[in-house]
Amino acid sequence: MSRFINLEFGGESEDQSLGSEQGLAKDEAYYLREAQAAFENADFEKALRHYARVLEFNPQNAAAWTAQVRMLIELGEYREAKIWADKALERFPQEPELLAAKAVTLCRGGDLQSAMAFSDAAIEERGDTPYIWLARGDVLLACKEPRADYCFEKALLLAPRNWFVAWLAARIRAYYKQFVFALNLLQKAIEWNTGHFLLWLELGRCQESLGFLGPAESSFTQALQLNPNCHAADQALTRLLSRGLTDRVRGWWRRLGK
Amino acid sequence: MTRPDSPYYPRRANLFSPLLAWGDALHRLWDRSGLLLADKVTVRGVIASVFVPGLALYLRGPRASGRAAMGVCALLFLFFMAFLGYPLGTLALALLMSIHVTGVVAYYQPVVASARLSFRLMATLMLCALTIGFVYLPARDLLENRWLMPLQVKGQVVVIHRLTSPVTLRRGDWIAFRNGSIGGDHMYIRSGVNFAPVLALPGDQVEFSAEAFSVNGVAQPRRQNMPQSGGFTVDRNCWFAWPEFAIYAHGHAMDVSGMVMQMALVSKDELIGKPFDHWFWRRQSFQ
Repeated sequence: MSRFINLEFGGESEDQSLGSEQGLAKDEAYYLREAQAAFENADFEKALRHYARVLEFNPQNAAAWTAQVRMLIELGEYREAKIWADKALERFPQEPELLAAKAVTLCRGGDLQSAMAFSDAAIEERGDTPYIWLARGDVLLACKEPRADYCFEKALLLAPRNWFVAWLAARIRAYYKQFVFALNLLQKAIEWNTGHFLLWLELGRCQESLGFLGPAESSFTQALQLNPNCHAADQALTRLLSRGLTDRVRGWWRRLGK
Repeated sequence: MTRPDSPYYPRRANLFSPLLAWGDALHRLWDRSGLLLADKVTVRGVIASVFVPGLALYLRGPRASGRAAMGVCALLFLFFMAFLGYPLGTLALALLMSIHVTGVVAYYQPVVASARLSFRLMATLMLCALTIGFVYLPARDLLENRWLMPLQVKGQVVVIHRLTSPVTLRRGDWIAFRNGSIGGDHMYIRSGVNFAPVLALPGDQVEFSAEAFSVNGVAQPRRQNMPQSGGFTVDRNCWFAWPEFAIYAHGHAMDVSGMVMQMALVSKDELIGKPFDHWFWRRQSFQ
């Protein structure tokens, strides 16, 4: 792998081949599609770069600003996400999804009071999108409030049979170590989109965390079959095979705790 | 982590991000502790006011009297340094500490204003102890161990420069040095600090006779209690300086020269420093 792979030289190499071969105009819509595709493949770094491209074409695209904050959150860079959210909020102070994203950056950083205030503000702005409710659920889980369940249900109601929203909800549940809930969400997501490797990968991770090593192995194998280039699945399989008795006991214990 | 040159690409996490995140978390914890929720009392203000005398009064306002307080503190500090070791210097320091501590207490006043009297008294005492314990005592130790030390010599104060490198010492330079306690036949010398001129440097040959002593063959008048015969070569990292003593003896006469000789060979560890030629406007002379 080239060490310059992440640098951008005007018309970046990875897009050049795709764009020129398919004769697509590389405009805002193109980069938005690419970014969304990268997000749906959990390639958050790539999505972040594409959203930056979108903003170069149209700095008034609030969704792209919000998505960048969300990418940083997914990458675990909560402090940077907060800084970027503040910058975006200077432009769009009443953008509900941006307020919701800021709430998530705050709650993941440990500032629960402010997070709740931003989440309230997002809902007060009459934002009724799945992400706002996912973010609300995220904040409530951080506050250890049982009302979080309602938020995830509401998000799924707003996006019926949407595997992507279910996957995002599962990721939030998994972040707070609620692997059983995450598992249920992932099973639903797989029902709605069986052929996506990412869902199998995530399912495998949850099963592994719960100590279901056999099913986890099977899920990782499915993910690898659907996407033979999936390094994460490959690595997970290798890791799974090298796990010892202690890890198995830890998995049983975790399941008992649920 | 990459950072393409696009103005729309966010700043990414680096090596220090986890530390900064911890800092943010601590700051929030401090804010929520209830200690700093009062009007115009901030973390920065608390830290700065503890370390800068008079700043607390400036921050608490009114600004003019705060500036005056800081000016007075600066003058008192100068006065303390100029009269270091004299009662006047000690008085200046006491005043400086009073203004400083009063300022810190005044700065915190809104926090404890609504509390019970016993809590207010306790808080005031704690703040005094904090200011003295965290600022003045460490500053004093730092000053005396690393920079300068005032010594009372024959009724006058001599300020010793602690940073003096022993390599620069010449014959005739006055030095301050420590001596441990030394016990002998019917005699005991307490540990303490001595002040005497350097008579011989490392490697010099010292000879004693009944009337004089010589360093590398150059004779000088014999000092009180010096041996009347013999000689030696000064070791590396040692200096020869003959301390003066007032000895009060009754009964049979004692030979104290052997014991004083132990003190007269000053090692690098025992050396405190060399006096400044001038301290502010005062010329420091010791003949």
